[in-house]
Amino acid sequence: MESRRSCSSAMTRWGDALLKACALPGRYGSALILILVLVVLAAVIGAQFGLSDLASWTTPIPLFGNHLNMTSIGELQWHIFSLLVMLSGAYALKEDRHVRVDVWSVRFSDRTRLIVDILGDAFFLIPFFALLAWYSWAFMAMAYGFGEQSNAGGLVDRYLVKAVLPIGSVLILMAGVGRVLRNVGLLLSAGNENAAIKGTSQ
Amino acid sequence: MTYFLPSLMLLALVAGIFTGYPVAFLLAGLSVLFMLLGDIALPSFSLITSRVFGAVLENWILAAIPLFIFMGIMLDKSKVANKLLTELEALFGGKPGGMGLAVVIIGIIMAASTGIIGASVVLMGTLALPMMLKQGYDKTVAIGTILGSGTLGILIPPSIMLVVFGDVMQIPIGDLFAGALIPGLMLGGFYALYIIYVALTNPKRVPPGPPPPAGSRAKLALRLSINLIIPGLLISSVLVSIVVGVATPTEGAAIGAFGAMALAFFSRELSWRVLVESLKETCLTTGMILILAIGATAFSLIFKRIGGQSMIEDAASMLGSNPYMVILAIMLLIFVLGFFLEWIEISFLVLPLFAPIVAGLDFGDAFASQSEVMIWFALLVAVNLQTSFLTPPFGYALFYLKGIAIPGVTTADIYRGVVPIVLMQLLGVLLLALFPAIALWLPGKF
Repeated sequence: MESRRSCSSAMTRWGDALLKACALPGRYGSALILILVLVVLAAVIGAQFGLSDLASWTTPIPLFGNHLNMTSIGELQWHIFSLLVMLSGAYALKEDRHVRVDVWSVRFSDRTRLIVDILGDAFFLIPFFALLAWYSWAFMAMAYGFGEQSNAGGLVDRYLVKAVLPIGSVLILMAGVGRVLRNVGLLLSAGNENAAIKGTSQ
Repeated sequence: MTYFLPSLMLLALVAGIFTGYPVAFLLAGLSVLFMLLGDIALPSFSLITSRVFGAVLENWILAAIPLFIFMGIMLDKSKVANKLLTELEALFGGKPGGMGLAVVIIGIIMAASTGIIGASVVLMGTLALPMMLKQGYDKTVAIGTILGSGTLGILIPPSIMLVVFGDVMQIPIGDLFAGALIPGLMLGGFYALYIIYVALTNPKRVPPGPPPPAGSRAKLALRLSINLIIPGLLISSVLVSIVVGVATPTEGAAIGAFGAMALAFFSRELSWRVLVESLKETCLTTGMILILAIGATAFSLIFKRIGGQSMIEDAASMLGSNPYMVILAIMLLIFVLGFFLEWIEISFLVLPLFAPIVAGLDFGDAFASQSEVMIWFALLVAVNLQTSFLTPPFGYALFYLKGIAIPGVTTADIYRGVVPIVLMQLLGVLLLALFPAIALWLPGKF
């Protein structure tokens, strides 16, 4: 009995820690919004002045290759956006900000709500994001293999932006696992407390 | 039973939604479940992967969403709305109904503020409702005004709902923004007329506040015009540049976001903490909207693959050949769905199913082109959804107002207060349906 309780509280602790860890990249990733604003503004200003090629250098660097032009800046916009979206998923999960329809569920007990989340995470969230991580890894590997890059002379290394898909999926997946652990821990410890209360009252 | 699987998929969706589990993950998970049930080989999941990348992540139109959200949050933090309210109220102070009009005007100007229904209703409810009640406003009138003005934000551009509509229905965002302006102002005008009508017939329900001290009026008007003109200029320049086509929605949104930051900075409201909080809030809202877009993309792909699209088309064809009947049926369905779903689910999930049907309707000579039909349909859906969010007993906006629990305001007060607004909304939908020119005249000018 005692050991089961400490086991469930350990589950809650570890699950919570995992959930928090997965949310961290999104929390800091929110700074990407500021960068996005600046990059789009740079594109607007550049277009006003009719700029096209901005800089070039000899040693190629990842993502940019050996040149920076307006096409690169244009493509950088959706690169940043993709990263932001895939990082924000796990963060929003931790803060419980994904839309729920609570017309009926407001009347559910805490216990029922925990069970709904555990089942949902286990049978909907985890399988989907596991598959998405698996298949998007191949998707990225293919881009890497072919050396896919912009066909308008912009950014190179398309595999980098495709990598946000497996990275984000794994974050959401692990956040989901963390939430299941936490919720199962909560459910067990709540059960134990009820049993304990019953025990003392009898 | 040819449509057994797609019907089952919809049924599972409805059942799942009511458990209160996050819709984004429900949609995603159902796509996997029905891949298995539909005997679709697992490697087909790579189709979902490339669709998610192509339709959501690589999508430069959707990239405007975090920027518009950030702009709205920054405008909110700059506290212009709060200043505007006190100044407008002081200016209209001596006259009955003045404060109500001030609220409507702010509703229109600050519509940009979020585009998320809950946020703007809560903003207006916490800001203006207590002030109106303190001044002795009749509860019914005050609540109606707040709810109407607070939900106008999903319609009046730059609304992120319209950005999403444009993306899923493939209508230029500029056309939607231009098209939404007149219907939005028309509804705002209805609310204003309502207050003026009450002020004329029964001034005790909308009592005047203390008149501004003599001589201060000019100074007040000056301060007001500064506070009104700067955000007004900011928002309208963003809108105009998108509508005229000088800027893409993303560019317009970035300029707006930068301008709103500057506004907050010069209003001395932009501290490091406020900036970090606003960025986090933007990130969370972005995650909420776009992860749902990913789930809906996966769901729709599998739903169509197992025959869902032809099921919907067959159902629509049973409505007969009168295009207006089809539109009416779709509107009724969306109205009911609006009780349970936010606009986010409706636009990513429901609209893509109906858009091809509407695009295939034959209206004869009523419209110049099929793209006009789509703009008109999109705006009908927008006004319809706003109405749905206001309609008791399920309307979303009502729950949000209930949630902030203003002392002395009961659920019955909220229902009573919103009835005149819902009637005006229905009139708005009807006018828009009968006279598409209300939506189409302005986009036609560009």
